[in-house]
Parts: sequence; structure tokens; C-alpha cells
Amino acid sequence: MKIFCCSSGVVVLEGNRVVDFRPFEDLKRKLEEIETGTPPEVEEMRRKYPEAEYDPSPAPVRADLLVPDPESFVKRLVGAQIQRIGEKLSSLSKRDRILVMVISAVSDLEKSLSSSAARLKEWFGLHYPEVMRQYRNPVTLAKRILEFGHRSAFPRFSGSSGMEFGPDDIAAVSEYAELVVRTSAGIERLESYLKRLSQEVIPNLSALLGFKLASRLVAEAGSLEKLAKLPSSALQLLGAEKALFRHLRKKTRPPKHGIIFLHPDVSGAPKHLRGKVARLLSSKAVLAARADYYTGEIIHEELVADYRKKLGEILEAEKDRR
Amino acid sequence: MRLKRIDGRIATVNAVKGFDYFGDGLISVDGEECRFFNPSRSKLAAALVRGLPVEFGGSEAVLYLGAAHGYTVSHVCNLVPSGVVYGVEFSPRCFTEFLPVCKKLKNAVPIFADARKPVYSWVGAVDVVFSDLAQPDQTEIALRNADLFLKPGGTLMIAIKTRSIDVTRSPRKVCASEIDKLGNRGYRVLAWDMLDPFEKDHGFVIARKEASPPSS
Repeated sequence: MKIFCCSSGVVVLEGNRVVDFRPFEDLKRKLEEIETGTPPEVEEMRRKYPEAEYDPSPAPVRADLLVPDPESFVKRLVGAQIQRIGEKLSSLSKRDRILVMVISAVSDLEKSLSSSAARLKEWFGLHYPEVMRQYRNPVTLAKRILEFGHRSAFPRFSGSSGMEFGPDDIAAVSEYAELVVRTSAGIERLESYLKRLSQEVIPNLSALLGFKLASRLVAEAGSLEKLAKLPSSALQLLGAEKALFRHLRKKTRPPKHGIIFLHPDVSGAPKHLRGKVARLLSSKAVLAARADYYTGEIIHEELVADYRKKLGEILEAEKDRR
Repeated sequence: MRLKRIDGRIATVNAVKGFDYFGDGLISVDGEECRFFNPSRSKLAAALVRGLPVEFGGSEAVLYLGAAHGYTVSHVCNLVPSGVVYGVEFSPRCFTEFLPVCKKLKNAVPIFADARKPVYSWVGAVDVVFSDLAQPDQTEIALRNADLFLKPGGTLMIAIKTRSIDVTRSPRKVCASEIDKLGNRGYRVLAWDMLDPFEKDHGFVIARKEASPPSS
């Protein structure tokens, strides 16, 4: 004889024959008790059937068929689970999810800024092509267009080979310039927020890699938890999946780095050392990510010092070789 | 089975009148309201269209691993109107869609858990275990759950995502080696097939749990 616990209640079985059954009232509480331990009803049954043994594995009978009205029981069960899951989800505090959204938003805006700024330059260039060489930074150009409007209002204007723009044409291009300026200002504000957020959520990783690259890695992995669970070699290749699978399938050369390439130590290293530096940097980055996710301890001073030392050794060894 | 075939398309008899959360389209067949079941969105539908012997009597208990947004779950609920479907999902994001679906359906029980760690022992025994996971150890997870929850003689269905297991070997070979695992664990394979062209690089296998599993 065995005692089992299932969603509808505690059941005593002899083989598959039901000897006794005690239904649950408060399903939500009982489900929680079963998942975390043993509900008190089991002890009562044990006293009633001293020869029966408690088995914590799933009962070999269907839970819904133990009660007289399975349909209404299932309805109660659905309701209890919806409540439990709702509570669990709202208690999951995951600030890193905001971080992922913000860095993705910044990336989107950067891409859109770069193409709309290029478009603005070409557009205004129809009217005043000479100005394109004066302002290298497209956002500065946008600001000047907003400020001066018609080319004759620009300082140092001395004739132009561009076509004439009427007031309506100027109004339209100015409005587009305003969009570019606003986008750029928006990116700046979002970035300063991202910096604060990353200092809170991933202090160690941002100290090692800079807050933008650190946030990008979290976004690429999906969440801080996922990033913290990656091996260093996988972190090294985050963002290089295409090259990695091409390598696995077609025996091309393996990639040396993914988005970690954005770090100046990797992209700035001599080409044949980049793999080595990327490997070192990602080995330190996983340590930082794990500290951020699991302990929340601040370890970056030691970590960065150790990283600098080993990076120095790599570059030094290279000098000796020559 | 509460499944209709209409000009090469399939549809399930709607257990909840008017339910069309996913916008499949409703149609009336022999006076019954049916909801189209899209083989490009569901591996179960793809298996049905490919002619695999999927059978539901109508009152089974089904343990569904990898419920996601609940699309397939909603159709399984139609196939077992007097049974119950336990939908296990581990991604918090999915529940924003899945929970409203469960509220509307009568017999879909959502479970927020990792199928690798079946803490939901309260489910008890089920007649069918259906697994649609994208994990390298998806077959082991499905088998573990089937060992624990599936009644002897019950049906195990696994949608095998070969790309999660090994990208370097051909999908068919990956499937074959995964299916070998079933035989070794006391499951008799009834049928299997690839799901092309509906799902690229996916296999689908139907197996029966032997009445007395070999003691290991």
C-alpha cells in the first residue's frame, strides 16, 4: 500500500486500486506545498494507514478522475495555476531585462540616425553642396541647418553651385534636420541612463569592458543569467554564430571573436594576437558576469589589474619574439 | 477523432465556441464549429497532414512539454474536450500570451517549470506525453517525463528539433539516433517521419510505452 500526493488530493493506493482519498480544498496552497515539500494531509493518512508508505513520485492514477466532478475540478486547477504563475512572474525582479531593452533601443536609434543623417546631408547638398565639406559631423550639420536655414544665411557664404530652395523647401529640410538633432540628443540621454543602469546591474562587467559593450553582451546572450552560465569560449564568440557554424559545417577557419571585438584591446591588437587577447578578455568577462549575477560582489579592481598584467605579458612576449 | 479534413486543410472541433485567439479562421462542418489547424505553426498539425497516426480519443490527460504561446495546446484541448492538458513552459515571456489562452480554454493547466526538473509531480499519471522542446537533451527530457508520468500503454510523441541537437549531421541521421534511444528505454516506436516542408529539419515520432518497462 502506498500514499501519493496529486493535485486533487492525497490518495492511498493498493496497486492501482483506490483505498482512500482525501480531496484538497485550497488548491493553490496545496500545489505550493507539494512542490516544496509534503502537505500535512500525508501525515494524517500515514497515521490512518501505518502500513502504507509515502511515495513522493507522481501518482500512477489520473488526478482529475479521483474526484466526482473532474470538469469543475480542472477549472479550479486552471484558476489556481494562473494565480500562482501570475504571482511568480511578478516577483521575478529582473533589472537586466530593462538593460537589454535599453541597449537594443540605443542600437536601433544609432542605426536609424546614421542613415537619416546621411540622407539629410544629400538632401541639403542639393541646395548647398559646398557645406558638406565644412561639417564633417552630420549632427553638427543638422544643427546649422536648423540655425541658418537658407544657404545665404550661413557664415562665409560666397555663392554656390546648388539649386535654389524656396521657403517651403527650406521648411521641409529643416524639419528633417530637427528630427536628426532630436534623435541624437535622445541617444545621448538614453546612454547616460544606460550607464547608470549598468553600474547597478552589471558593475563588474562594465568596469572591465565599458558599459556599452557589457550591455551588448547581455543583450546578445539574452539575459544576465544566460550570460553568467556561458563558458568563456562561448562568450568569446557571441555574435559570431554565423562564422562558427560555417566553420563547423564546412571546415572554414574558426572565428576568433564575436562582438567582443568591439573592445579596443582586441580590435587594437596586432591581427595575429587578436584571438589570444579575445580569449583572455572573455575569460575575465565570464568571471565578472558571474560575480554580477550570483554574488553581486565588487571584484573588478582585482580582475582588471590581473587582466592588464596578462595582457601586458602577451604583448611583451610578442616584442621579445621579434 | 474530433478532427476534420477540408480540401487538404485540417481543423479541430472547437470546444469553446467562438474561440479564435490566433486568427486561424472558423468554419462550420456538419453543424459543428471548427477551427483551422495550421501545419506551418504547429508540429502536431504538420504530423497530421503528413499522415502520421496521431490518435486522440477525447478524454485523455496530456502532458505537453514546451507549451510556448499555447497554439498547439489550444488545438490539443479541442482534441481532448473531456480530458485535460498540462502545458509546461519555462520562458516567462511566453506566459503573457499563454495565460490568457488558458483563461479562455476550459481544460488547459499552465505549469511554469523547467521540464528538466519535474517538480510538478501533482500532475499524476497521464495518457499522452507530448514534447516539443528546443534543447540539445530534448529526447532525454521527454523520456524522463514519460518515465515518471506516462501510464503503461500510453503514447509518447516527440517533435525532434534536430538543429538543437547537432548541426553538423544530417537531420535524418540525428532523428534516427534519437529514436534509437526510445527503444532502449522501453518504448516501442509506432511511426516516425520528417516534417518537411512545414518544419525544416524537424522529425516527429510516435511511440508506445511498453506495459512492463525493463527494470534498469
